[in-house]
Amino acid sequence: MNLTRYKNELILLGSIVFLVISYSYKHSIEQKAYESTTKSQQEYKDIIKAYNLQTIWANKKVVKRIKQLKMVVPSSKVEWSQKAKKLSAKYRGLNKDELNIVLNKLLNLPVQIKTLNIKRSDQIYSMELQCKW
Amino acid sequence: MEDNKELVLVYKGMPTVNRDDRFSVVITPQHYLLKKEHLAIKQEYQSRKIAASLFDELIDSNKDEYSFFVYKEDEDWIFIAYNQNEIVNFLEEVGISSSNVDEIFFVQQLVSSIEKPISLGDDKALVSINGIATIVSKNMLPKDTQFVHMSADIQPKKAVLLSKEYMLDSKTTLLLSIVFIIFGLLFLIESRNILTNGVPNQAKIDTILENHPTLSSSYTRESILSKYQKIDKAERAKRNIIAKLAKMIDSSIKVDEFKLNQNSYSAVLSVQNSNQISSLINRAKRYGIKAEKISANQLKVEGKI
Repeated sequence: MNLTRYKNELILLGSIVFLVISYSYKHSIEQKAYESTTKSQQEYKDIIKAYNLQTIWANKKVVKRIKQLKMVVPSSKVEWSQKAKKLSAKYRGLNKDELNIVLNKLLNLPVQIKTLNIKRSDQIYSMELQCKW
Repeated sequence: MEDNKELVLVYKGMPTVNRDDRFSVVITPQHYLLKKEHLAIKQEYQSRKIAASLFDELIDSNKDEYSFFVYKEDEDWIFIAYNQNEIVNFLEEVGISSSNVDEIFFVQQLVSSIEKPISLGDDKALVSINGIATIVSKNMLPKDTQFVHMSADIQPKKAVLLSKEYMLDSKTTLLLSIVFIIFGLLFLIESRNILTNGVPNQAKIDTILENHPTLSSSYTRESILSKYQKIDKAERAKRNIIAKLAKMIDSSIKVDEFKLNQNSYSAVLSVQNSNQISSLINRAKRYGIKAEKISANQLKVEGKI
C-alpha cells in the first residue's frame, strides 16, 4: 500500500485525531474540575455551616449574656438558679413591659429552651424558664 | 514505501493494455521534456522554484498546464516538465484507467538500468545516451542490435501521483488541518487554564481552617453538624412559634397562659369581645396554627415543635 497516495487524507486524519484527543483531554479535565469544585463547594458549605453553628450554639459568652435575664427586672421578682450550663428561673409579678423585655432577651440568646411557662393573673404575669447552653 | 509493484513502460504506438489490477507506469521522453543542469543548489525546493524558468524557451503555450518534477542525479539536477492531462489522456487511449495507476515514473529515473536498447514498437527504441534516456529510430542502431524488455530491480523513491486520485486537494487539507489543529490547541490551552485556576473557595477555606484547625477534619465537622443542626432546628422552631403568636395577637387579645417544652407548645388566649374568636381562629389558620374555642372569650392554640 502506498501511503504517499493518501498523504492528504493522513494529514487530515492526524489533525482530526489531535482535535479529538485534545477535546477528550479538555473534557476529562473539565469533568475532574467540576467534581473537584462540587466537592470543594460542599466542603466549603460544611465548614461554614459547622463554623456558624459552633459560633452560635457553643458561644462561651452566653454565660455573661444570660445574666441580662436577671438584670432587666428587679431582683425581688426573680428566683435565679444557675448551675454549670443550666438555668432555672422563676419570675413573679411581672408587668406586660417587663415580660416583653425578658422574652425578647431570651429569644435573642443562643440557649436551648427546655421549658417556658407563662401565666397571667389580671395584669400580672409569672414566668418559669428552664434552659441550657 | 519499498513496495515494488510491476512497472509498465508506456509509449506511443504500444498495444492496448487490458488489466484490472493496480500498477505503476513509466513514461518515455515522448511525454516529457528534460533538462539536466549542474547547479550550485543543495535543496530540492530551491530547484523546484527555478524549474519553470528553465523551460521558458521549450514551452511556449499552455505553460500553466505543465508540472515540474525535480530530483538530483549524482551531482546534477534533473528537471522534467510534463503535462499531466496529456499523460492521463494518453493512458486512457492505451486502455489504462488512471484509477489503476499507482504511481507514474519517468524513464529517466531508471536510466541506469537501460544497458541495452529497449524496443518501443516497430521503429523506435529507447536508449541511454550520455546518461539521458532518449528515443531513437531503430534504423540508427546496428542491424544486429538485440532489444530487451525494460526491467528495473529498484523502484525509484520519487514518483508523480495523479492529483485527481486524491480525495482531498492539498489546499483543503491544509486549511482543514490548520483549523482542527487550532481548535485542538485552544482545547489544550483551555485545559491548562482550568488546571491553573484550581479550585474556587480554596482560599476562603484555608483562611477559616487557619483560625479553626479542628474544622479541617471531616469527622469533627460531621460531629459538629449532627450535634448543632438538631439544636439549631429545634430552637429556631421554638422562636418561630413565639414570633407567630406575637404577630397573631394585638392589644385587644391577652395571653392567659403559654407553655412550651422540647416537643410541644400551647397557649390560651382571651378576647374582650366574643365576636373576635372566629377571626382569631382564621388568623391562626393563616399562620398554620391549630386553634379551638374553649369558652365564649377564650381560645386555645397548640401544636408540636
